[in-house]
Amino acid sequence: MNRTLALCLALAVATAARADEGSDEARLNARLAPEVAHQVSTLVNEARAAGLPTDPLIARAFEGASRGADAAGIVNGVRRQSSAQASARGALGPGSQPDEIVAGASALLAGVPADSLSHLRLARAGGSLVIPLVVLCDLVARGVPADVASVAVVTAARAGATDNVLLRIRERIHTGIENGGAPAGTTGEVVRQWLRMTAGRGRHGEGPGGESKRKTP
Amino acid sequence: MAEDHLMRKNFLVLVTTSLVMGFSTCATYAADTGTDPAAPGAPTRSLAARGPLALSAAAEPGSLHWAFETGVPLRLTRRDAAGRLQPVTGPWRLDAFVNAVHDREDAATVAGMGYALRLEHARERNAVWLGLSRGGSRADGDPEARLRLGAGVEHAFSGVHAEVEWVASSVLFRDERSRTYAYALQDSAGTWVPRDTSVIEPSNHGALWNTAQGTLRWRAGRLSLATVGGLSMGEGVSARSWVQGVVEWQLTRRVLLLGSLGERPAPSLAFHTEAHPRSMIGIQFAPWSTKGWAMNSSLVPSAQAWKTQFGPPDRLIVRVHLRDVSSAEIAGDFTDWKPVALERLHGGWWYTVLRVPPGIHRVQLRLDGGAWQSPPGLPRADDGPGGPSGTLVVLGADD
Repeated sequence: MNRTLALCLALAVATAARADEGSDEARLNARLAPEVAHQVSTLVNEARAAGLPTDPLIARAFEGASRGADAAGIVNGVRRQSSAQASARGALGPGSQPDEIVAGASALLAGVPADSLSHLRLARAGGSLVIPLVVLCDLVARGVPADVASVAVVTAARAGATDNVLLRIRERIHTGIENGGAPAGTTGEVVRQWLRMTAGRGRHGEGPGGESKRKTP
Repeated sequence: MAEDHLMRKNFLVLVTTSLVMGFSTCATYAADTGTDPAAPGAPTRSLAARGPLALSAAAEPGSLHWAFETGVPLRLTRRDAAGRLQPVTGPWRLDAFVNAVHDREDAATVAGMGYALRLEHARERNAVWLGLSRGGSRADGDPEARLRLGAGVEHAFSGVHAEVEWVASSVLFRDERSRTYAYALQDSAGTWVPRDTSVIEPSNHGALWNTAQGTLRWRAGRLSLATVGGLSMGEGVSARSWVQGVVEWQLTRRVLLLGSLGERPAPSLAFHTEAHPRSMIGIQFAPWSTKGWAMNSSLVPSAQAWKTQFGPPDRLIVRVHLRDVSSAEIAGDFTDWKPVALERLHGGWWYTVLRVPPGIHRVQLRLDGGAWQSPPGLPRADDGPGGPSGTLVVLGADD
């Protein structure tokens, strides 16, 4: 009975995968030249077989097409995304959620070292890394050196910063940079300030990273 | 004798101004390199370069001044042998003005109304214009202006625009004089009886007035500071010089705030609707203003704020606060990177409703057909060849 159920489930999964393939191919063929669509489709199928998210690959292809990239540019963009996703999953661990893999791939493509992703996983073993990775990408995009941004986010996550706290830290860093502060110096200062505040609250009986009472991180 | 002296001065002003303008016009055409006449920073103030219509109004404690301006480009084209459009007439524009001064105490009374036509040829850094005007505001005792002929030359140096112009006015003095034909009449008895036979007769006479003026204008972003100075002289009046300071602040693409300190005579105002006769504060509204408007070139379309809100199932209402923008598009993973136009709401807000499934998405905005950019406030990701994009995280029902 159990064996029959397992077989049915496996068949259902295989059928769904085939349906996804067909749907993706149709979308690609509708937007891309046949040769490009075929190459992208091959990469998408490889990613699916490897258990990687496929929508970001298709999105990369469409983005390239919308921006007027040539065939090689589109295929290379998809290949880079696929490779970054594979690396991100390697760094984040096999149990990573698809959104974490996508955010991790963005971080790697932005220049964040792979070991920062592993450190982040260790710092927040049980929780989602989507927002920490998004914040990390954002800091790098705003001119904070990748190593400084990684240390800042990992340190905050290790100290128990929740997603909301990380987003507020990000906002304070932006404000500091927009007011003329050096990206690296501002990032370090904001995180140190938050750590001091958290430590102070901890001494007064509140848990680190708690979002009670004080609005600012 | 005094009249001869005045005429000589008039002639001198006329000749000098004509020479300066003739020289400048030659220089303008010599420097004409065929650049885009509507290029940002062009010195032209022609309305046709910025939109089809503008209204301005200004006030001071004693009076109200308003003006209406409309303009059309006169760029005619023809098709060459290859079927391409080629300009025939060059960057010519024709503007028409109506301006009036009202007594604030009696708004129905128009102290003076003027009409003008101005033909302008504007290039990237130079412009020349020729204008014809009639009427205009008059101070007490001023003669009536029958016709004015004006011409001006503008040149943009680095950061400073200079303009020289000359206006010749044909004015009419409406006088009355008393004339007595006889001092006495003989009655039937042959006696001479003195009688008052004096009559009042109109004694109108025309004259030529010349006005020369120069303007220096400095612009920085939305702010423009200008100083206008000039000299008027002509038959029946003593030479008069004046100077006025002007401040302009481009509040939005359509709204220009104006302020002036000092007086200007009517000939000086004839071809400039934004000019004020006295110290005034005012506003100019150009509802269909375009980027070509000289000061609008300083207005950079920008996105100020971004808000999202869940709508119907799987739908996300995206609202973006934009400034100085006439069109906006959004593209992202959830649109398959096809641009979707945003629709204008009120107060600078634009919106669209999109189907966005839960997950992590990349998104970009494009304003006025410019470069794709990251939406304001969203976390950025600079991870691709398309430039920084915003990261939109949409949580699922179970997140």
